[in-house]
Amino acid sequence: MSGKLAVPIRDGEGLAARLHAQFGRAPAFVVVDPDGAEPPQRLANEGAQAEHGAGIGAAALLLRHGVTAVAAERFGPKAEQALRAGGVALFLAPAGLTVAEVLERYRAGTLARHELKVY
Amino acid sequence: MRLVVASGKGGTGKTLVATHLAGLAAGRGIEAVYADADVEAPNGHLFLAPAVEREERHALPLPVLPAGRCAACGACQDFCPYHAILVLPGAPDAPDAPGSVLVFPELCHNCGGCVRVCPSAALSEAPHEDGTLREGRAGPLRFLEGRLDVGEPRAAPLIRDLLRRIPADVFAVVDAPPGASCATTAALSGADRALLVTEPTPFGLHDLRAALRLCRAVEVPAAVVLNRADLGDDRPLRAFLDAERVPVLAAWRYDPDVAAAVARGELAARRVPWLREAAERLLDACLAPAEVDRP
Repeated sequence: MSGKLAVPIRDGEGLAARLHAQFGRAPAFVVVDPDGAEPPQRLANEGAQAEHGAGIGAAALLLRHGVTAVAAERFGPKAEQALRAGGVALFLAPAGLTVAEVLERYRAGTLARHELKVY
Repeated sequence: MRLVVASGKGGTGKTLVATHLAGLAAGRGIEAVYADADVEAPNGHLFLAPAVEREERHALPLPVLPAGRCAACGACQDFCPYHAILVLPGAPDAPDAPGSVLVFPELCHNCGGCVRVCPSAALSEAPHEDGTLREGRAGPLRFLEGRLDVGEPRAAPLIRDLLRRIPADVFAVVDAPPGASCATTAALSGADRALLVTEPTPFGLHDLRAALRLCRAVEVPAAVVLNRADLGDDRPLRAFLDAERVPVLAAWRYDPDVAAAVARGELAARRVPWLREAAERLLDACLAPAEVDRP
């Protein structure tokens, strides 16, 4: 498994941090290496309170840090478009899970894929 | 003289007032323009039945990137405060792969800044059509209209370009969109005076407060026309207007004959004599120097 998994968090630190419900509005992200080689990294989401485009700003941040997968409860439409355009794999996970629990499911292959909706 | 007819609440009679003022002014031999800036639902033409002489598409510049020229430096993305442009780097296992960008037209404010800051001059601009501008005449009255394409998120650029077509030194009546946000603000730019059409209902009063706040924020003196003035309880509205020292230039009663004429798409003053006289008096008041609205 290569690449990095990012999780929007509402509070807590590192693997004990808890998942935020909304991708673009999370105050920060925890980025983990599923192979366990690197320690979890915290990225502040400075645009979380932006009137528009918070999700795009968050996607840009993660793309800059080489993130290849994201798990969240909800993705805004523009954030989803931005992440997919950047080749990031999207997964769904309920808010409140810890980063460790998300990571465990990701490694086990039991996280639900966020399927592309075609309208 | 530019008079902007606004309301806050929709359906109070903006277009009724605006078409009558413009039409009666033209009938007096005044060089008059009716400009329909309610670009999401322009329907003044239904009452004025203008002969359209010119129609053109309106467009805004959007950034575009020809393939193979982006170095993925991120300068455009960093510049844009609206997050309207996202830089997608090349794949990590192919470091020479050129970057690309994703543009979000609904967030772009068409400033062109991203194009200017691009150090490799890779970005350029291409027109994105968002609406139609029409010009014509209804007898002696000049007619202007903006019509936003369905699904376009921003009305203000089209409204601003519509207002630029109003000639100097005419009596212009601008039919503004309802609400008190960007589109209405754009319609108020350059106004000498705002005429706020309202009705004596809690809804009319609620939305009038917002419209009046907007007028004061952009420093346009405001006066009120009460429409269907005998329906509902006008005491809270009158108390508010007294306290805020907003002049009431007209109070038009509800008349089924007016409603029937409007429903047929006719200028009601042609059918209803009292309305014609009332609209003429309102026009006199609008043409007189404004009572200054300063709280």
